Amino acid sequence: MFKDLDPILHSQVRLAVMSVLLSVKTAQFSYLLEATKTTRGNLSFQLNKLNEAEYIEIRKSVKGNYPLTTCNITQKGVEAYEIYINSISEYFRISKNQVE
Amino acid sequence: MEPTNSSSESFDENQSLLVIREMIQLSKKKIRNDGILLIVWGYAASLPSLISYFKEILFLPNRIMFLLKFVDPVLPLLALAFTIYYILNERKKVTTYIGASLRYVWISLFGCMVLTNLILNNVTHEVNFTLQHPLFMVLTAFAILVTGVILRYKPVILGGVVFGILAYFASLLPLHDQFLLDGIGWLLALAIPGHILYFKRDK
Repeated sequence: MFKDLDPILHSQVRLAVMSVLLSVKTAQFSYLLEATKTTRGNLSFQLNKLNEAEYIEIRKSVKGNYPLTTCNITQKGVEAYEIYINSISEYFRISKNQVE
Repeated sequence: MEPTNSSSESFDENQSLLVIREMIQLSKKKIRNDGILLIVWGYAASLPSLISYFKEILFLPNRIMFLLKFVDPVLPLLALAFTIYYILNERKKVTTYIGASLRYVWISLFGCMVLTNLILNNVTHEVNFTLQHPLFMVLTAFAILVTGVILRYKPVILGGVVFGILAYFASLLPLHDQFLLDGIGWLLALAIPGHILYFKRDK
């Protein structure tokens, strides 16, 4: 693992959530659950972590008799994701050069 | 995807890449599923035009002619009903920028058609369908091209260009023959690319 990688993003579920949210305007909790194939409790925990870091916004409302949680990525989240991707790309570039 | 609580210790850079790739595939699959809307609208717009053309050149029994009269308004209404159902049911869990952009493009097209009609009426003081129809085809060609650009899908972009060219040739023909070009245009620009997109959804 590298030192420079953002620890908030360097997690399987959180990275998956950010990757999904990057390409959509908003996504409901159930959609993220399908995409990440994790448990409700785990997803909820990871979403709160991303929310605390201000990488995503979470809106909670009620639709009919059911709670509805909707998420969207923030500008800070987009920037953090870009930095993360650049770091990963750099890693693969260096690894490739070392192999060659 | 295995449940992971927070630690990044067991998560390496190769797995990161795998997760990102997986999510990109998911987004692509979603767009490919939306190919069904291209198919539905391709046929809903094409069939009434083709029927309008062929019922003039084929001698059909009165009963069939009577039934064909209903195809023109019913097919687009069915397509609209299906689109609303699809958006409300299939896409309710997620709102995409692509979906929002496409909605604006096609609603704007409708607005442009109304304005074009009003302008034509102001200038020519008559309803000239032979002029109106190719102009509507040009506006539609633009909407199809923009749709292809938003979807980043070359067959639809190409379809938009072909539709524009057909609009030009339609302006050289009488109204009845314009319907044939219109029908072919919708098939080439939306229905066929839609089938290709939808066919690729599980690949």
